[in-house]
Amino acid sequence: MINSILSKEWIKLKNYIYSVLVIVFGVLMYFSYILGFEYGNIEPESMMWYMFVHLEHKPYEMFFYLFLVFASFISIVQFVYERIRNRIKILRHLPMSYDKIIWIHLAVGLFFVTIFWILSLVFVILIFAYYYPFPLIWMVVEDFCVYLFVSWLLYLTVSFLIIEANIIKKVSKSSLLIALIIVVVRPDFSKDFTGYYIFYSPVLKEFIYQKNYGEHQFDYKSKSNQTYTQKEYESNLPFVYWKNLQIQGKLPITIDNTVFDVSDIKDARLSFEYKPEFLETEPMKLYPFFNPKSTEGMIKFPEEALFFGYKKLELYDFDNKLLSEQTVEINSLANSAWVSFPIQKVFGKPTNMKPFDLGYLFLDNENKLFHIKKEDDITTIKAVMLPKDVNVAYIHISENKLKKTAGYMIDDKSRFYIMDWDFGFRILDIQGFDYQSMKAQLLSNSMYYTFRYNDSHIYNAVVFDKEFNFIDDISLEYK
Amino acid sequence: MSKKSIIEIKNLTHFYGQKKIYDNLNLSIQEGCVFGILGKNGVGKSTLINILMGYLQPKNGQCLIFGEDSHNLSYTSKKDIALLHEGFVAYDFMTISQYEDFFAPFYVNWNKKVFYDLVDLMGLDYSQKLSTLSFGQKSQVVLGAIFAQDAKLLILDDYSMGLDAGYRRLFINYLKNYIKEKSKTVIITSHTMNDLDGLLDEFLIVQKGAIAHHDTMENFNLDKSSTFEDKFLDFVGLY
Repeated sequence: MINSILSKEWIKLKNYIYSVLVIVFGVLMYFSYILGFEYGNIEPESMMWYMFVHLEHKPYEMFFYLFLVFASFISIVQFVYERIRNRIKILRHLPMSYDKIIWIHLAVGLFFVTIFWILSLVFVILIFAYYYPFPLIWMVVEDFCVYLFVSWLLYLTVSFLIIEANIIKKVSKSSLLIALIIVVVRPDFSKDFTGYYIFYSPVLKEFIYQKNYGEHQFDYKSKSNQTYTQKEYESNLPFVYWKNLQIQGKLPITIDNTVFDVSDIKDARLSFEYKPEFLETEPMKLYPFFNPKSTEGMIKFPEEALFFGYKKLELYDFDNKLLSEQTVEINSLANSAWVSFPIQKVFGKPTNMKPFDLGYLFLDNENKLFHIKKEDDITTIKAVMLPKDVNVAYIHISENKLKKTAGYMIDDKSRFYIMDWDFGFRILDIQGFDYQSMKAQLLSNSMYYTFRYNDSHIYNAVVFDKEFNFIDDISLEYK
Repeated sequence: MSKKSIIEIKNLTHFYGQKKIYDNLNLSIQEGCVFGILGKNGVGKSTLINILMGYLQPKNGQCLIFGEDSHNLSYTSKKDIALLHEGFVAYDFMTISQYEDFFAPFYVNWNKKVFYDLVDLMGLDYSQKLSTLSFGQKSQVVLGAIFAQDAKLLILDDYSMGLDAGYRRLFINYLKNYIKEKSKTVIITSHTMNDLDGLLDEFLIVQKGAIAHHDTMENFNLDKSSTFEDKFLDFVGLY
């Protein structure tokens, strides 16, 4: 009886399956063409690797939508034939368990979805491996596994929508499956909303803030509860709204007997941002390995990519893929610095859109911090001294023209450290910051550092002088 | 000796929204009886079949087939019920031989000869797809699969739908011969009466919202003043 059902399904579906196979091969050819086109128009080719890992530029993403269409299509052609006036009649009358009959049909559908998936995956990997370094293939497999799972869920959803005559069962089963799809795909429905924009006024010597009611409705107040108009508010923040002052001809400005002109204000401006999302590590630790030249002003995007592998460091370029000789050399440096594998976390800015390159910091298997950098063709790997009893949670490197601070570090106790240009760490006196749940921002201007942090309900700010001495703080509840 | 009851309908009530289809219907169909459910289109003949086959849950009451609740029939009971779906619904993507191959394994008493005898009456090629057959030709294939099951109970929902007079006559004659040889219980629904005279033992005339008449053919035909068709029309009205 099972064979009878399988045979029926094959007779029913075979022409559709052949058509889908033709489409799969058509899409594979298009995928191959588009990848060749993209690589032919980018220099160096390793930028595609960077885009793949760090910007989630997935050239095979079309297969996800293709599988979703196939899954729905197979379900429709399978079960629409079985429906007579909103009911599955012939199958229901067969002398066999109806549930068993339905699950055999579903198994057939899932089997074909999986066959398309396997075929597509094999050919995508073959094409992909020609363009991308070997370690990235695992990302393809991982992504395709998600595609398959979601396709299965969608197939079942569409099938139950067609099969179930009982509206309650129809809605409950499909809702459950759709909820599962949402859990797997994790679409981002969150809105980035800031309730308070808090600044420290160098004119008033107190915190002033803009309360955001949404829909462009704002309120301007100070810590001492003084209310301001928008114009007054902006004029009390000359380091924030300096452009207005410049247009109004009010620059340079004198504060506390010090004169600040446009360039003073612009040069002192710096901002570091932190979000809990930053804790999510890159899916694959492959980074462009910059090699700035001391005789050239601009940092070129490198041909070489550095992979922090499970047992060693690996270097790749497009023409040779794995650079065996250079890989041996760089691992020799890692061994000399007593790096232990696998590498836990890598921090750095994998872009050449920056004035300097500080390389990368990484935590090894023993949570020791190392600095790796290449400059003028010379690679260095050095251990970085961390403050005593500090376990790094996150490091943000920011190459900036001030060259005073190189970013920040947060430890596992939510303590916030400013990182000097030579990787020294200075702790900031901040109370109540929780790196797992709060967003933060460090703003620098000509006179102060302001650290703002919030959990979307309580908005806090602490202001420091240029030597990081505490001046004042504020805490506002958003209602 | 009294015959065994194959179908028992007890206090059946069913309605769609405000529209009442059956109100407290009680009915018993005995083994070997050829029972007609007659009425114009849209009065609820197929609704009763859908309830009997468990496709539809009645609002009230109970239907028993072979002593089992029709909404929860065992596989053994289903094997003993051959069902013709309204409109000769079939797998049109199959060829005639594939259609036979599909159903055969489900029924232990499957009679391949009966199936192909009916198909051969049409002189059809077994490799022809059902979708390429005329409605009349397809009906013979579907009926072939019904008769080949050698079931104890045949439920034939609107056998006449889409068939011309020739195919209807062919079917009725075949059915008469078929049940003459074997003791089968048959439920047949129809909106035309001409062909059923001489076939039915008992019938129910269904009208909108009520049962118009329940009788045996023997009793119904005592009145010789008009034809079966005319008497039927007296009950259901012309429009």
